[in-house]
Amino acid sequence: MPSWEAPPSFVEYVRSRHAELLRFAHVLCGDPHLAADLVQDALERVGVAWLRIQRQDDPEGYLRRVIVHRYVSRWRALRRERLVADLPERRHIDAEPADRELWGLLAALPPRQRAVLALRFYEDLSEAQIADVLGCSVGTVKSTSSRALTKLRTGLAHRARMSTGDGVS
Amino acid sequence: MNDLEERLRRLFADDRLALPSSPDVVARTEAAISRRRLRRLLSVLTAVLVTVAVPVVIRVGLAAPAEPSPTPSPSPSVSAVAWLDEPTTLTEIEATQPPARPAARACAADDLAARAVVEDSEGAGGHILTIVRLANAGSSRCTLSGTVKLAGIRTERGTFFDNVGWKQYPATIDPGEQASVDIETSFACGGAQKQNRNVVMTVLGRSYPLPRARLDSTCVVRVGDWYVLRGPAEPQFRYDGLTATLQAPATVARGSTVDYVVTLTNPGPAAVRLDPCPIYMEEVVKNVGFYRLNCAVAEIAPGASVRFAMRLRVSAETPTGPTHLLWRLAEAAGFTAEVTVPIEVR
Repeated sequence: MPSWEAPPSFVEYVRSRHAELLRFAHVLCGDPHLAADLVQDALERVGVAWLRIQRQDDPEGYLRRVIVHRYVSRWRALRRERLVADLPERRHIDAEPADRELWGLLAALPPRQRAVLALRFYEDLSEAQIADVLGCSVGTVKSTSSRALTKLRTGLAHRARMSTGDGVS
Repeated sequence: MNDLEERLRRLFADDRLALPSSPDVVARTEAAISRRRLRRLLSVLTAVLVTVAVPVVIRVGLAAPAEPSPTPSPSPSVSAVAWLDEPTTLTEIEATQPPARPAARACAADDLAARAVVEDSEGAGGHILTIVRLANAGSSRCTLSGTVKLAGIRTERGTFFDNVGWKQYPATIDPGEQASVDIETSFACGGAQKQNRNVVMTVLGRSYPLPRARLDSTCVVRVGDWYVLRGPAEPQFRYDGLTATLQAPATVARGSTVDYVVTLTNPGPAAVRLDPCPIYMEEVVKNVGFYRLNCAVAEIAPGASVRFAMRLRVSAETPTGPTHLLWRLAEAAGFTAEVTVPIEVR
């Protein structure tokens, strides 16, 4: 069977956009290894249909949808276990942002809540656009976003109480 | 904007979240796609082979004890389904995508809500997507198909973002559920802009004013068909009815490959089909592997057991001493058929 050869436009696209896709996936899922897996997986799925997808208006938007879709729908129960059972042979990447407190709280959010926040505050998508990406209503996006922000606020308040000693009984 | 939202924006903009791009990403993608194609070809060949070989394999598997007595060096190739050298990742685990609903009776005008809801989007690349939703106000499931007419507006048919799998056409909707239709306007065509305000949509002969819809456009307005949004369902366990036992050598050497046998037993009253072919995880200390099971055996009959040969590479850096060998099936819903046995690394 002949091996698959990437079309030149795909090669050019990947070389110019790979780093940005990795960053988007990292913001989305919070784990650099998982981000690399998600992007690689999406490239493999999109690559085979690249010429068709390229003819559409927004191939990068399509690719990001695939990344979000795969993250939200396939990682619910496994994500935390994967973080614990990280592979030792993989190169360690120091990817902790300055705001470790908020980054840590984000890690505890369910994938869909985290995806809504990433699409809203990293991608700057409107609620309607996020609804379209996630395949839900705008109302669901609003309630999901609200729950996520409430959870973060609660977590920050709890940590603040603990650090001042108010939370210690 | 409140402080938390601003803090999130700053966090996501932190340059430390940037990840290094790999120079061989194109080569890896080409190799992976080639492998996928090859696997697809092999699966077709296997399917042909299985029709001949499976009865023999199952008989051999059933003849073996469900919980074999421990031996220092099991001989899996003699009595077990062969190990399949197909490493994979968790991203290969299939989502529980809801099946397409079968069409129901056609919706009548009286089934539909008196008002339609308009949700607009800024879109991208100069295109604006306006989504109109209309609920089933009737008492039973019905199917809304075709598209809509917009009074006084020239339209053409189109589809939008249909490749990801959220939309199901036509819209078969339960009472209270909404059908959706996409309307795309665009300023990408140049020329004079046509203002389309006070839009009125016609569905099944009934008029629906859409006061929130602003369909200004320099292009012909494109209208999709009715669909229903069906996001992925919560994943369900497929294989949680199976139990696993494991036969492995008591000791393994660092830097060696350990062969062992996993026996999957179906204690339930119904056959368990290995479709989609499951992924399993194996681990000794931090030597973790994800592989696809060899599904030459298509199903495990009620009360039957099937033995599967396994192989795990134990790295030379693995700490010596007593530890455990963990094996389990990995599903989108979580892990099942988990088994752990003590093992010593030397």
